[in-house]
Amino acid sequence: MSVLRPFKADDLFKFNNVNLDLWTETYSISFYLTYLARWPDLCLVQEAPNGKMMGYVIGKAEGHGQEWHGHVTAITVAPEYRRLGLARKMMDELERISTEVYNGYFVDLYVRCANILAINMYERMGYSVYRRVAQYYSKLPHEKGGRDQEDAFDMRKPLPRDTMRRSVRPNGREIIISRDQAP
Amino acid sequence: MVDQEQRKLKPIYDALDSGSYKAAIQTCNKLLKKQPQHETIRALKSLALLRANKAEEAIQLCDEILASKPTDDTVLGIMQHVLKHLDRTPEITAMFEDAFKKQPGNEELGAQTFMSHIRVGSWKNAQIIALKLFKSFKQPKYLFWSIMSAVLQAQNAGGVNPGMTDNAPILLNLALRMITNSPIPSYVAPDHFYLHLTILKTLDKLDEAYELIQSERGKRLCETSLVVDELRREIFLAKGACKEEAVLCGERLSKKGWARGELDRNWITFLSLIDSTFDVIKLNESQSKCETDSVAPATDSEGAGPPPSEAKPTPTSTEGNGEVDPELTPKPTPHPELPLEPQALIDGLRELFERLAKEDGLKERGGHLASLQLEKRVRIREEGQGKSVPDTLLSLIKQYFNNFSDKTCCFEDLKPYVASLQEGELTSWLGYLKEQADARDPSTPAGLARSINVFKLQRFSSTSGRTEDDERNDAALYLKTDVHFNRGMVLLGKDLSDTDLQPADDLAILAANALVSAWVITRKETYLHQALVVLEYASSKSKQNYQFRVLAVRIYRLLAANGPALSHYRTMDVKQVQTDTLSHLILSRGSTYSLAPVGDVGMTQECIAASDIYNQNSSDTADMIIKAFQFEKYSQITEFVEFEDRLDNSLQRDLTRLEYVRMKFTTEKLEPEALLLELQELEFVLEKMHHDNRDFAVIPNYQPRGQSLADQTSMGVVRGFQWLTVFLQLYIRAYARACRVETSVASDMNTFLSGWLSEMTEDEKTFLKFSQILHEWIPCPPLQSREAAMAALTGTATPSEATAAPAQNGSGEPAAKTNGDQERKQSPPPPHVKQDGSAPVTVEASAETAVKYFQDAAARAKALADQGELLWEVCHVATLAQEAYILLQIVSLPYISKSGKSKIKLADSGPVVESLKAVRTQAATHLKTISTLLSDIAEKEGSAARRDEWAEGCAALSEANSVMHALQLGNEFASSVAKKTLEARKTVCEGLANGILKVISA
Repeated sequence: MSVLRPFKADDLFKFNNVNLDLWTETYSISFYLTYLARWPDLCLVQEAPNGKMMGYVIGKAEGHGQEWHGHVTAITVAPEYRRLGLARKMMDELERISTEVYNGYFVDLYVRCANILAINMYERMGYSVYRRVAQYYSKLPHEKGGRDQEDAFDMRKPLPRDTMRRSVRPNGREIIISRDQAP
Repeated sequence: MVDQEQRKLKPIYDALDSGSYKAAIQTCNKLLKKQPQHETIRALKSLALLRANKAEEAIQLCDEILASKPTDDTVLGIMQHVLKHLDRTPEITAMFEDAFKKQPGNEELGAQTFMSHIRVGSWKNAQIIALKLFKSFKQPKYLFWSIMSAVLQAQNAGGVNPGMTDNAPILLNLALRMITNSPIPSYVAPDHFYLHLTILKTLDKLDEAYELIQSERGKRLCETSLVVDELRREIFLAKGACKEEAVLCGERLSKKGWARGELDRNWITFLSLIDSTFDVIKLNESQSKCETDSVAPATDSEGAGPPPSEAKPTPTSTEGNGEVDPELTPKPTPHPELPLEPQALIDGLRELFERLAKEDGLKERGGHLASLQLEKRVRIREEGQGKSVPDTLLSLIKQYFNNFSDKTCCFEDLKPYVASLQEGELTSWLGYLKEQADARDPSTPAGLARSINVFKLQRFSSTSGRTEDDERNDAALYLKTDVHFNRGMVLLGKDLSDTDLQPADDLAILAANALVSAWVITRKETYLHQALVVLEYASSKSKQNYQFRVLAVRIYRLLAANGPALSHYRTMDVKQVQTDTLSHLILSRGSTYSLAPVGDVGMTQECIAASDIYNQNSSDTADMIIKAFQFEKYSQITEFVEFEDRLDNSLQRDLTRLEYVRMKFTTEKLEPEALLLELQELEFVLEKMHHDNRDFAVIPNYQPRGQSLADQTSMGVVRGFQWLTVFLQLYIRAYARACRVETSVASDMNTFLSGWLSEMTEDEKTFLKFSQILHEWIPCPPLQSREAAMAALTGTATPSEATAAPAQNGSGEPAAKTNGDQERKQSPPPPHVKQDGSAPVTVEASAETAVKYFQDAAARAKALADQGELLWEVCHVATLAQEAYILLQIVSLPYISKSGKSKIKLADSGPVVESLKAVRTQAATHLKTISTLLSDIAEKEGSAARRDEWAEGCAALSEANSVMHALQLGNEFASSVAKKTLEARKTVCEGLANGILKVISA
């Protein structure tokens, strides 16, 4: 239960309680506005009834031909609002827009291979590992590093247009590409 | 040919990219020998010169290139960079305009010209160019650019006074004509449609807007686009289409398989359903009232029906003076799906929400919370009608608590509803919470979450009259629960990683809230020490919790331990746009802790770091507005422009700027030349309409209703627009004196003394009075014109010009009295500042009263220290006295400046100079007293005895209820916090003490 609404430029004044969390990066103004200037419908906010920001998602549409898809660039929920199903609601909306507005084949996202909790959550939402991108992330300051920390899984969920289900493959975890090969 | 050209230029680009500007210049020179008129190379050379810090040469070359009116794309692109770097953005526009005029068939040039107008916010020119582009090249995009520009122009977006302009209707009607006649209909894309609806809504053509929305394509766009749907709702409500809104929301909530996912559970839909239903009720009632009033005047024997003005305006009421012809008034046609009776409507909602709550279960809180929201509205309505209030709300609150108290958000969800309970109900509610507290076992995560919700709700629901014991006992209870829980977790083997938030974190926050309350009640500083111990302890256990750090920053600053405050703040990694919203945490009255005179530039650096975002905003956000045009996202453009404006005119930006000025003068030599530039800057700032973007909501507040932890832990009353205005004017006035120029700022501070002071501390008010004493006591030197002053600054004036102005008043005469010109130029108070109209305060201005200020400050600092007031207050008095000394120097500049250029020689200035020097000497003596006081404090703070005392203060309470006991912490931990705090206090006091000595000896 929350307000689902479009992300707006002046939300940058409001997102502190979400972004002060260690795992959420704060980018330059241009980063957020670039997304809003192009894919405003893929940028959403969840807001508590008292107006506090609970979380947000920032996405885009990209790719050529059968690779045309919606991409989740950032999704985050403030610690005090986790385990309320907010991430799923935002993903649902993003998938819906990727289908109805952009007519994409799938939605994808990147996640650290070590982030088991998140991977499980995405799997419950219908995503599966499509491939592994080596050395996609830089080491986290508080972690030891290592392959699983720095590699990313590219996880995909087919949309209705992907009738052949090309965005799903059983051996995704074994298919490794380098960072340069990733879009 | 092109390849060859590219090959030739490549080394220059490479050198520029790698930062080898000298090499770039050399390559340019070499190539220019062969082709001296090669435009691209010349442009690149001016860029390279600029980057190599050879501004003069760069400017010369740049001007030459501009004079040749280039049209080449590449050249224009490079020159755009050069001009931007040189802060000559308006010339970019002229450059493109000229180029496009020379080549009107060049579409790219036209688009660039349009963008350059957008960049500087010149919407009118942008509109004209876009229309020209549309006529020449027929692309619909250009037409929409023109339409959007007209809308921005009508809104005066980003202007000094944003808001609808006088010619807005003309512009908007023009925009409407263009969009209606567009070769492509507006429904092709959500953003085009949004623009169309915006125009109609602003023109109040709500029926047309409604029709568009109800069209097949319109409905579809509302379903797929959240932005469009938001605007649709606004239009429905503006039009008074509350029935339609209610029906639509009801459908969305109950029908499966509507477009947006399976079920709409957006809280906005619930809210809108409730709001619009109550609007329907109101409409029905006023409608029936209207009918009664108009058909039954004869029954009113007195003939004194309600005056027309009391008749509630409804969308269907006719114009005129209250007489309503029932035949002419369109009868409200009730929607087939909505009953007319208020009770039936309300019951309908009750049933719906109950059904949804049942169907959704506990996975979805919407239906459950909507029942509460509905009862709250019913309560307000019935209270308004003088009916007795039903007790449904309280039982629903209990039910909600029962269902969701294992979720962190339960407290926040319930807050607004608990707030609308009556006294008696609150007692019953507190009783219920007490039972809950007793029944919960906090050793499991769910049990803990429930306990925390109970604690938060108890604090929030508690009435006034809480005592020291209440707060102390509560703090202990929260911490015991923490220990209990953590022991449980260890037993369960569920040790959490230290990068995770700990479930018990809120207990420490609650305890800190209670301890701050205990301090507020008793003013016993030891409670703040205990709060710090709790927060430091919690922070060591749960490293990622920013709330601990936010609270610690505030308490450390109250205790004048700026070092640990800074270090917690820096650990929070506040960056980018966050520096605008959060730097107030560390920079509010930051000059109090600036140790710049003794070489510690930590605070000045924070000011600089916090100001970088404003440059980023000026250089980048305009590009983003252009991007939004390129991608035709018209729904974003106004938002971007407003964002840019909010950041550009941020209150915090200029509070930081002033704070920086106050720090800077303690180390920099005062030069009238520099002051003149700064004077103009501050005058510019004074004209701004500021926006307050500061985020105070990050300060976690679990205090009883009506209290705010943010206020309680603020170092002095929270500053705002008024504080900024007063201090700006104070400095502008002083600078103007120093530079001997006129200023339009009020010469009489009494304007302020009579009621603008609510945001100032007592000591700031005294400081302000001191500035008035200076202004009246020191005779105004002969003034020169701004032009002459600037000329003197740039070194083009002859010495005689600078001294030519005759003295307008004899020395010793109060300036304000004789300087009639200046008095007439007093600016009225800015519109956003309210005056309370109390009697003006007068000051007695003389050398003696000026000295007395310093004497009083020294006495006050000592008294505060002796009375054991918070150390920040002592520092505050000390730094203000130091600032007063600097202010005295600023205002004395015309008489005793050592800088030859601006020194004036007045025939009879001798006595003034003597008197200024005498005051300065005596002021310095009193400042030395303050410095000694601070040194003494520093010495005491550094002693081992003080540390023991501090830790014992915490331990003294370590009996039955004590915090330390509850935390099961030995004195060691408290001792370490004590050590850290006291050392930081010592550093501050020592630094300020030595700083003062440096300032007075400079």
